[in-house]
Order: sequence, then C-alpha cells, then structure tokens
Amino acid sequence: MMDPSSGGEAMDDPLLGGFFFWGGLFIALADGHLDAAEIERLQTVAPAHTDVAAIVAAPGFDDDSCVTRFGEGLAARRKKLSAVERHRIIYGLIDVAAADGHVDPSEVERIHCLGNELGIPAPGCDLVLSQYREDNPA
Amino acid sequence: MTTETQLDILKQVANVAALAGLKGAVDESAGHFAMGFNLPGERTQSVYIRHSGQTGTEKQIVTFFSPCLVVKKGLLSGLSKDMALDLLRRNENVLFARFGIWEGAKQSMVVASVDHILDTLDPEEFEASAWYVAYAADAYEQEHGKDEF
Repeated sequence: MMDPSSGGEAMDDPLLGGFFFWGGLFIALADGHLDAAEIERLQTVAPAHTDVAAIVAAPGFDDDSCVTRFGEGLAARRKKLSAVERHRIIYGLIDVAAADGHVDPSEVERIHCLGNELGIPAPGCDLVLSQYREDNPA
Repeated sequence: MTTETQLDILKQVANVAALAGLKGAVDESAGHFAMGFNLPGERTQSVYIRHSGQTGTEKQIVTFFSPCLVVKKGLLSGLSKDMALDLLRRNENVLFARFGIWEGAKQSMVVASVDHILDTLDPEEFEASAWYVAYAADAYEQEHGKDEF
C-alpha cells in the first residue's frame, strides 16, 4: 500500500530530522560498518555541516550513543509524538536500513530497539516493515 | 470528500493499526478498514473503522464499529421496543463503546461503536478501542446465541 506521507518525503520533515539521523545511524551500523549508500542516505537528514563519517570516527563514539541522542530528542520535545510522526520515523528508519537493498535481521533488531523508545512494540515495527515491503517491492 | 481523501484517511488508519501491531486491510469499495479478532471460547469478532465526519476544526473523525445483530424489518419482525430499551440500559454499563441501531431499508443492524479524532489517535488507544468494541459486540451476540460477526 503506497503511502505518500511515508518514506522519502517523511525523511524531509525537519522536525523529525534528528530521529532519522541518530536512529538511522544506529541502524546503519548494525552490521559494524557504514557503506556508501547508507552514508549518502544519512547525509540527507544530517544536521547542516555534519560529516557522518567524521562522527563515527570521533573518539568516544559508539552505537549506544546514537540511541542516547535519539532518546534525548524525544525528551526535548514539548509535545509527544503523534501516531503519524511515529509511523514516519519507523518507516523512514526502515528506508535507511533498506538503502543497501535489503533489511538484515540485525537491522530489524535495532528497529525494534528504537521502536521501543517510541513506545511501538516489535510486532508494530514488523507490520510497518511489511507495509514498506509492499510499497517498495524488490 | 473525494475518494482519494477517503482513501488517505483509511491508509492513515492502517498506519496506526500497524503501529499497534494489529493486522487488517483497507477495503476501498466498502470504505472501511477491517480487522478480525479471536476471542475466548473460540469466538471471533470483526471490527471495522470508517471515516464518519469532521470536527468543527476540520479534524477527521473515524468510527470503530462491530456488528452484533441483524434484524429483518417487516410487519411482525424488526427490533422490538424491549430490545431497544435493553440497548439503552447496556449503554449505561458498557465501557468505551456504545450500542446503536443502523437502519437499512430492509433490515436493522445493532452495532457497538466508538468515535475518535484520527490526528490524536494513539496506537494504544486504537488497540484498546478495537478490543472494547469487539468484546461489547461479541457479548451481545453471544447472549443472542450467535457468532456471525
């Protein structure tokens, strides 16, 4: 089912950019490295003048710091995220995970982890993944 | 409202359902999103969600509903006054749902339903409402010795 409010367009939402960036980086690092397609995808939602590769190479950076920054973004909001926004975030994160052509089980696990931060149970994330696959057949 | 807008609303309903972990499908021709629930005692209940209007500030309203009984209209049939009073009494006790009668040309249908503003509908509320409506409708059906819906 194609949803015009999801996917690529959703990634352009500036209010959700931090979630896409830190969540996307966490997911992209699930296999231990960033490939060119993932860096390119992340760069589109990164804050201005951000060098994704430099962030990852910075001393003290680890995968968990992405989750921390993701959580800080949630805590900083004055209004709780609506269902539409939560769906956009999960859908957008799946889009990052799929940047290299497939979504690995390790990436699904990380989507579940971020879904948990957003109050979305794993079965909910899996159903959004099913929607994504319907919208973007291989 | 255009068919496209109607469909967008149903897709948004499908997105919230997905976040709640509930499987369902948009039925474009019927104009609703449909889900099926397995209840205790091997009973089942269908719950539908349809667009039902707008608030004064143009926010979309959706209605969760589940049919419980269909009564054919006729000279000696139809919904009796006692049944209607019974539904009124039930409405005083049922939580997060209400009973109502949808009148068709040839039949009346008793449904359990609840309304929500789509923009502020959380996955948690969505799931709770779907279950409450399903349980309310199924309880009524069960008391009438049926499990048709």
